[in-house]
Amino acid sequence: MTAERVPLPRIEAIHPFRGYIGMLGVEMRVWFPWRVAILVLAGLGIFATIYIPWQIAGVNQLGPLFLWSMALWLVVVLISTISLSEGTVLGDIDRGTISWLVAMPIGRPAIIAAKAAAAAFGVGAAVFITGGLLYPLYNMAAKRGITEFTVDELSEVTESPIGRWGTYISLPDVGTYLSMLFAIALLAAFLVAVMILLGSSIRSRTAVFGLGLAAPAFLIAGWVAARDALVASPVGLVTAVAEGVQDRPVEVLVPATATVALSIALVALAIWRFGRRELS
Amino acid sequence: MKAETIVLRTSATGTWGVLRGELQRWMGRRGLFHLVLWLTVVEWLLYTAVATENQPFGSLGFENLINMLVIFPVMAGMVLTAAAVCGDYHDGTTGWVLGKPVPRGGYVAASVAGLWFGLAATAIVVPGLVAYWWLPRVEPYRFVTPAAPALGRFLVALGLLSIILAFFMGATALLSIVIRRRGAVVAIVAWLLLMLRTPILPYADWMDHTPSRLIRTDTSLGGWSHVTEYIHDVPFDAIPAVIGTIALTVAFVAGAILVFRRLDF
Amino acid sequence: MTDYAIEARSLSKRYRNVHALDGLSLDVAAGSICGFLGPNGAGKSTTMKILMGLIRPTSGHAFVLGHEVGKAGLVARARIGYLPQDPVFPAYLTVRGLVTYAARLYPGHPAGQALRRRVDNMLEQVGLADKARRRLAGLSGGERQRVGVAQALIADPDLVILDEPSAGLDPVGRRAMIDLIAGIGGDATVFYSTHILDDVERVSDSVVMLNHGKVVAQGPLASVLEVTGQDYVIGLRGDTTELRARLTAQPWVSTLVARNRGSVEQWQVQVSDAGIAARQLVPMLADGDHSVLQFHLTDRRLEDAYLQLIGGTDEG
Repeated sequence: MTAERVPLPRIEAIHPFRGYIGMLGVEMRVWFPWRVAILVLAGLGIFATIYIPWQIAGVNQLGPLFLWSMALWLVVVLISTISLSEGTVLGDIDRGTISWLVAMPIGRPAIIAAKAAAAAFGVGAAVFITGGLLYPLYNMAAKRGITEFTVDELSEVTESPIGRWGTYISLPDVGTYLSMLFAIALLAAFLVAVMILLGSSIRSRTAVFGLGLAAPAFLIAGWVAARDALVASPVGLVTAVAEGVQDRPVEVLVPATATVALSIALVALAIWRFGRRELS
Repeated sequence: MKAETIVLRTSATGTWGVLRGELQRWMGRRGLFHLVLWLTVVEWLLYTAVATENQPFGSLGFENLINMLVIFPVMAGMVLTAAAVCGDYHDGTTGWVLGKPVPRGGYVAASVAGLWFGLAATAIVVPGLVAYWWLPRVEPYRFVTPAAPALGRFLVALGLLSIILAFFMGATALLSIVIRRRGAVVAIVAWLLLMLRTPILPYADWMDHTPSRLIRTDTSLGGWSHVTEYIHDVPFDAIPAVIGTIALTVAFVAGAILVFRRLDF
Repeated sequence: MTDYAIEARSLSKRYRNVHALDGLSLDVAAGSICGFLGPNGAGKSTTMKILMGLIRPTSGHAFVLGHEVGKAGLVARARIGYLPQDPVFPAYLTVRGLVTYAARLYPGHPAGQALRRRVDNMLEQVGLADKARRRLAGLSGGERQRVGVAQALIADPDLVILDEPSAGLDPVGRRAMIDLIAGIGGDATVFYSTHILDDVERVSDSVVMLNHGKVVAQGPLASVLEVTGQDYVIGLRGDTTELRARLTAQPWVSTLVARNRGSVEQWQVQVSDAGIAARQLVPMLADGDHSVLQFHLTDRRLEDAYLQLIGGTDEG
């Protein structure tokens, strides 16, 4: 007995973002739970790497502990984001998965947009989960005999050699801390957009990876050299994190808006590039 | 011909063939690309740091140079090494080469050595020598440190930086062969670089036997790394660090070979 | 000194719960061309990779050109040319660059102009002389396959191991590949896997058939075909019911397939014992209420033997 053949509806035209929801679901499964777990573990590992030797060595200043672990966590978040999103587009092109997807009635823009959205959401979730776990750990460190200090100028703190702290810092309040996390998450999302654009445009994975690593280097260099001029940019988010570490009011709205707009523009450019790319 | 001689000759030919292939690659487009890239990045950033009124890195021309000749080559080295090992493993190129009379240990050593040689030349030696020529001639810098350091000491410093690069590339090779995920490898080696270079961890005696003694900027050293101090006529007292770095590099590569020999392709 | 280029004894390879190879033993005579057959997933590539030292067997031993693979594989590989399945070569090299690079990995390779001449001759042989300066990334699948053969043969090896050399080739390319394999045999041993049985029949001296990690048949081509039996084609008219019942009851009759062609009934009778069939079939046909219009023995094709051996062990 043969099955009755049900004719499929005829598709006259494919919307560019057709299949976005389905792709988003697939890409979310790539990030959740294991990649997010790796990012969270890396963050907690950073804290342990600094806290344990310091406890053993008898260093009892929260300021440097908080500063170094936040600075190191930021760098590791950015590098980990680049590492994890490096193969998002180009890896799939090399494996042939994207050629197979594009042969389906799924719009090319939908593929890129879904990858970008899932990666940004994944790193954002990891930042907030890690930050949420770290805050009570810092509080615990403060309560277990590590003295709180306050600071006036962050530059003095970073340039002063350890052991000669003449100034102090304290743990920021919850609101400031959440703003810092928001800034870090947006920075990571911006890097995701950069990696998506690079992957859509360049053939070499090594070059994508190398250029991706250069992006946070330029961000940090921009923050060091011209932070006042670059407030309305991702550099402003780095400033927001630096201010938050000093328990100062964090101005995050302007740089956040600029970063989101820039990230969307980068993804749009990636969609345009990918739309023109031959997938041989 | 004795059996041992045949094995030795075959191993040497295969290993040299791989090394030669890597070095030839650096003689072409790849070498030119890296040369232009690192000259541009290092010289431009260094000039920005020392020749403008806003000198964010301080008036420490050669310290800035040494920092850049540590960070950039190591970052590039770990990216290239991870890409070479993990990428070639996953796409099958390694399996093809090992189907030839190339010993597995020779393949690992030659691949890493070839990459190291090319990167040391293009990202450390050439940018370093170019900066050595113009740095003392830049006005603001001359105001702070008028005398150019001795060329001999500077060349030794470049050699030390090359050894440090080999250390990190060896670590990357070992991790790449064990983990085989380039993203994770790069993240771990970046963390290692940060740990050894910046005073995050409290100073401990074991650091005297690692690259940390050479490149760490620490209070007791007045804010300069020991390599920079050596350039500026401070006596060199980090021989254990050099020996330790070389020993660790050899250990990393040996460990990588040990694991590599047990892999299936 | 050994008469066999390849000897494998009880090779097994296990990946967790999967037995890729299960006690495989095979011999390939020196100077012969041996076709290595089997369905997808039978273990052919795994066997070849073990012989090349790329994979370690879980148990068992293998000898290649008299050298044990685990202990002296490096020396053996100096005399082997290998083409893996779906080869991946460094994309940044040109065609000439790859073949030259491969040549330089072998001890005693020529140098300078002599090497260049050798590479050019090899590229000419595989039909890629006009593409010598093209980057590998810009080649089609068939062209990459031909480059693969060139790099396998460049060092004039004593043993050539080719994993599906005809994959991705058009009919002209395939014929050229088979002619190349036929040309190598005699000077060197060729051990190659393929799914194209016509090619194996055309050039191979011996075959090894693999299924589920075990050898199901091996030996000279003719004897493998004989072991699997012979086919008779018989045309009959009249009442054949009783004859058919008697024939199918015989133990030396494997299968009997009947087709009606108008008033003539055509039988294809597959027999497992050619000797008994030759003595008893004709007398049986002569006895009955029917006429024999056609009677001849067909040449057994390798495909039939393959389907019988592989299909039979699949059901078992």
